[in-house]
Amino acid sequence: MSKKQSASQLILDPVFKNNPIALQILGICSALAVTTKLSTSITMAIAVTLVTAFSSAAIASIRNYIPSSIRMIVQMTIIASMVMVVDQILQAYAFKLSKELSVFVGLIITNCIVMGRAEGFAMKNSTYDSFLDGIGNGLGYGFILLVVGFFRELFGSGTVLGITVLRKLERVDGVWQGWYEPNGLMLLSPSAFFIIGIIIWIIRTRYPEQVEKA
Amino acid sequence: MLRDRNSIPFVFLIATLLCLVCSLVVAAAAIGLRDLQQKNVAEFRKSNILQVAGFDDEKVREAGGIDAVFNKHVTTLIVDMETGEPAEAKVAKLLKIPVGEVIEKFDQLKISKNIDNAELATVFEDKRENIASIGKARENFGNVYIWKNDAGEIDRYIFPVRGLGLWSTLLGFIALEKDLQTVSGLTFYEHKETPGLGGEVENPTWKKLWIGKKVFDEKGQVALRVVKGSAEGEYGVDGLSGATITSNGVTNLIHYWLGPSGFGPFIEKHKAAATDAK
Repeated sequence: MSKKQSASQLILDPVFKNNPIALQILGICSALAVTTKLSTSITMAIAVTLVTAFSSAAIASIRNYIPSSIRMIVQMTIIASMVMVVDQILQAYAFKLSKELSVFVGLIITNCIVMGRAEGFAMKNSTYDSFLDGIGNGLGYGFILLVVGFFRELFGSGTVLGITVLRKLERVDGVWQGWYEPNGLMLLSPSAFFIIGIIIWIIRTRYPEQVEKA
Repeated sequence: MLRDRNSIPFVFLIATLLCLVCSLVVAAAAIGLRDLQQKNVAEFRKSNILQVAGFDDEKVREAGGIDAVFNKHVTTLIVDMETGEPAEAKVAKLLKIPVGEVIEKFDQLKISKNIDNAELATVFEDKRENIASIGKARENFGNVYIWKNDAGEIDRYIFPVRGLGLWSTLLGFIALEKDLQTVSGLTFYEHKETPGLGGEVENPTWKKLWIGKKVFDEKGQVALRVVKGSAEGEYGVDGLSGATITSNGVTNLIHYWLGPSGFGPFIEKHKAAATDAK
């Protein structure tokens, strides 16, 4: 990170070239938990993007004053405050979604991406750059979440955003209707591993330099 | 200043300032959004009453929204727990509010916290009475929601229930058919049980198991309970695996609220009326 990156690089690089989930393998836990439906994935993606962006910016703006001995605690406090604010906003404006996300909004605090960007980028870079880097990494995380959420909801429930796409095979008034037998595995966490694995495969085929040396 | 930013006074200064600023931000968000959140919670509670009566979100939307359905089908009563008699006028007098506003302003949970006012709440003298662990005292008045069908006939009775699970008090509703014996639905709208274990009280498949179960045995005692493993018979519901304490909590709260210290007297009275009518 020696040479200066442009704004567009800061935002777009983490989405494909340096994706926090696909390359850095950070934030997997929540990516498994909230992606059974696309709507929760979208909310989670937005929440993490906002938290990462604003906490990175806040930390970068006071980076020259943070004593190194309590550096982590300061970062945690700022991140935790942001998460609580986001949680309050969700409870006020998106109550149903906040119920569905349940503990996982609170667990953004422990999302490695937020902490990782604070420690790895915001402590060394300007406020503006850190803000963009936060947005970029949030988007990178969100991109994976959306892809995983889309496929899990489509194959697991036959719907996208709650709208039926693949008609479920079910008995209505004694008559069999629809044709799609939902894949129950898709609603369980392991399926997210499979999908993330496939995404990593595709990204690393496109950018071979990401492949780690064995 | 930058030179000695690791000095002890500076560390304390930064830590104090940071905590102050962060707490102000969080407090501002919490207070500023409280009204909206409370409105959401109240609405969610109402939608749970409708759900337990068999009106899921989709049906509610078709019928014109929560308030429309609620006003059309639900009659809210305030009853005296001890006698099972309607008690709007009495409660209005005790709370010093006009009778017309009492249904709207009555908050059963708040009433139960009046441990110093024997008119409103009765302190548990024997801890064994407090089987659902609902606190120091029980309220003397409670809400009953009567569900009327399209023809305006009484179809279901919905009772608020609450009790301690593993981590938290579960708040919910149980709906009984008009015979006041058959369960037609159970739902919990607030709890902090472990997601995936005790949190499965929200699982629609589990909630469906309750439908059609019977509450009282021949002696009139509450017999309905959550059993470990898979249940047989009309008084048992399958337990939640990995959530024994939450399951027991659900059993306890049903025994308490449908029993003699809960809505038992009300149920007794209306059951008698229902059999007479036949």
